[in-house]
Amino acid sequence: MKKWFLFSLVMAAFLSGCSDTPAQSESGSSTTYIAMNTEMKLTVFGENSDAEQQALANAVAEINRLDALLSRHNEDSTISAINRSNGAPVNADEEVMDLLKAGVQYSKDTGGALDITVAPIMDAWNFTGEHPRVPSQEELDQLLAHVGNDRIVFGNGTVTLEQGMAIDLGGIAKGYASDRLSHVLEESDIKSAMVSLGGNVYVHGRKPDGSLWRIAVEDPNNSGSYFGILHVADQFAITSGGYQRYFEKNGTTYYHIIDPKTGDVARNGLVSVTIVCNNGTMGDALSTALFVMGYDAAVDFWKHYEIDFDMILVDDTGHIYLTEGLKDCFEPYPTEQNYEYTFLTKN
Amino acid sequence: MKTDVHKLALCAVLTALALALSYLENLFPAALFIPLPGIKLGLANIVTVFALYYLGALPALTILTARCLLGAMFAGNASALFFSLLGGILAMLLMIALHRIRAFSIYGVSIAGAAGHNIGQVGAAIITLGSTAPLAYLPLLLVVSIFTGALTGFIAALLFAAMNKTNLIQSKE
Amino acid sequence: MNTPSLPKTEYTPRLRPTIWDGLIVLAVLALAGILLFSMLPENSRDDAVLCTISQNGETVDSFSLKGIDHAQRRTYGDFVVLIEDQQVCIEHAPCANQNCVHTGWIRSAGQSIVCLPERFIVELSGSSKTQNPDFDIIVK
Repeated sequence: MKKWFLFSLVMAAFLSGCSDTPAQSESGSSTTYIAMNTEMKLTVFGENSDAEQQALANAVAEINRLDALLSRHNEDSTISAINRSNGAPVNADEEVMDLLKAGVQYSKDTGGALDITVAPIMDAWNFTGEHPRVPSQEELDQLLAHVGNDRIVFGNGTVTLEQGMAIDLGGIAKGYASDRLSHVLEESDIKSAMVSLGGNVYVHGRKPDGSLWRIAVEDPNNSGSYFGILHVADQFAITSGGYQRYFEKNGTTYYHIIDPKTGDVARNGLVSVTIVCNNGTMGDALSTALFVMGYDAAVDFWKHYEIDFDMILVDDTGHIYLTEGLKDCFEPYPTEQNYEYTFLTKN
Repeated sequence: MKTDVHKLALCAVLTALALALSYLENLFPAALFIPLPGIKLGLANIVTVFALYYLGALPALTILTARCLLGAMFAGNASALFFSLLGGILAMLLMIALHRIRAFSIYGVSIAGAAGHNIGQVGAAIITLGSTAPLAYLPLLLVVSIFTGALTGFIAALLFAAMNKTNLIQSKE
Repeated sequence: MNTPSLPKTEYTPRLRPTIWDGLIVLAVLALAGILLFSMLPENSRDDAVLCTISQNGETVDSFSLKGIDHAQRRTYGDFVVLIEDQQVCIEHAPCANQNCVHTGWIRSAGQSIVCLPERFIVELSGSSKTQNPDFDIIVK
């Protein structure tokens, strides 16, 4: 009799635990809104709905904080202050200084394929504005005199920028924000989340059921569709491609990725570059830089760079190149383009 | 007195046997087929069910607990302890409840034990992962437990039959 | 023959399977069946994809793709949204860069088309059943 009682007690404990409130909400909580001039989509999975809402609030607050701090279109931001300083030193806190220095370092590492001071050139093209236009080469040459992030002077808590120069962190801000989100989510006790910051993806931990996240990689020749799926956890995936922002004039397509050395659209045979790595800022920086570099230089860079990362290069002849590290996690998806896939090795 | 000492020695031997069986079943990678952490065949249940009938509920429970603790210590894996304890104790409780019912043979009791073992392990997985996702594996595990339980029962039945034949032990009746 | 005096069996088991054992087997199978059944995704009455149009953060229209059989155009100010074959795209937009038009078709819950300058968003949502089962998020 006693045994029956004990048994049913335990069974009751088990069964109620199994069928009642799930320990983790099934579909998570999401929010979609606009910040940093793009669409932010955040989905988190936590212990319960309240924890998820709190985590989302923390994430949104962090994104907004960074937007206010780094956007050159926000007159109260540190970057704006630097841009209108006319050569005078501007106080900047450590976070901004570190980010600027990181940008300059990536610029150095990629031989100038990325430059955080291309703002004057971007403004001339006006890709995101009402009237995009094609600047003349003379105009570009003139503006190029004001491009060169190695000329930024970092002092003791100050940044000095020459008159006429302007910093735009658009190429690394979202990447940095995703790095920060990784910390915010950890601190909010979230073990599973996926975010898309204007298409820059970060997946945090694994999916709630323990499986890997599936990140589809957009097909540059068929927007809205994809050519493969990455099965990963705790990774950043960032794509740069001409097809994302462009305008056409007189039969020519002008897209928003500029070669900082010429001021002109970077046409090096690549249609999209996707970086898969464990650092958002780096992924963001390299995706643009390697697109500008073109296939040969990009592959060479990948082989010799001191930090490991993986990438997917799509060129304009229907070829997709993936680095060998992606062999086990990339699943091709059939498309009309009939891409040819090749894996790159380091030697 | 004599019986107590014998009983104690027997318990010790059975515990060692259960440990050995536990170790043996690790050589079979059940996790390859059913990807749950800590998933096992439950061979050690042979000892549990044997001890239950032969020595009674309390000694069987003690052997089970000792086997789980020692097993975890030797493997150096504390979380495995949680899984095997939960699985083992649930199996134990079910078998204790059923074993004295004349209608059920050692097969039925073993099957119930195997099912309880799996329920306990899935329960442990749910608690560890903090998600009800492992429940998805339970239906398959339950079906499998019918077979592993029958196997366990079969071996235990062989054991009792052999012991009866050789008059090594005598039935209480 | 001196057999060692081991304790007597506490309780003698029945060594042959009985018909009642079958009851236990059935109970285990029933439990497996119940679990399986209760874990199947709920048959949602509304498994259609919902399309939501918002302008400046406010929802201006919301409709299900399910009932739409032939190509349909919906106009919102200067925007023309085309719905065809359970897919949606922005056919015409007043913005200068036309990125939203270039985005092309979307068809699964979770996808969206955004026109930033005009703050116009076309978003698809639905139950988890209508989410694309092949991937969780798309990098673009």
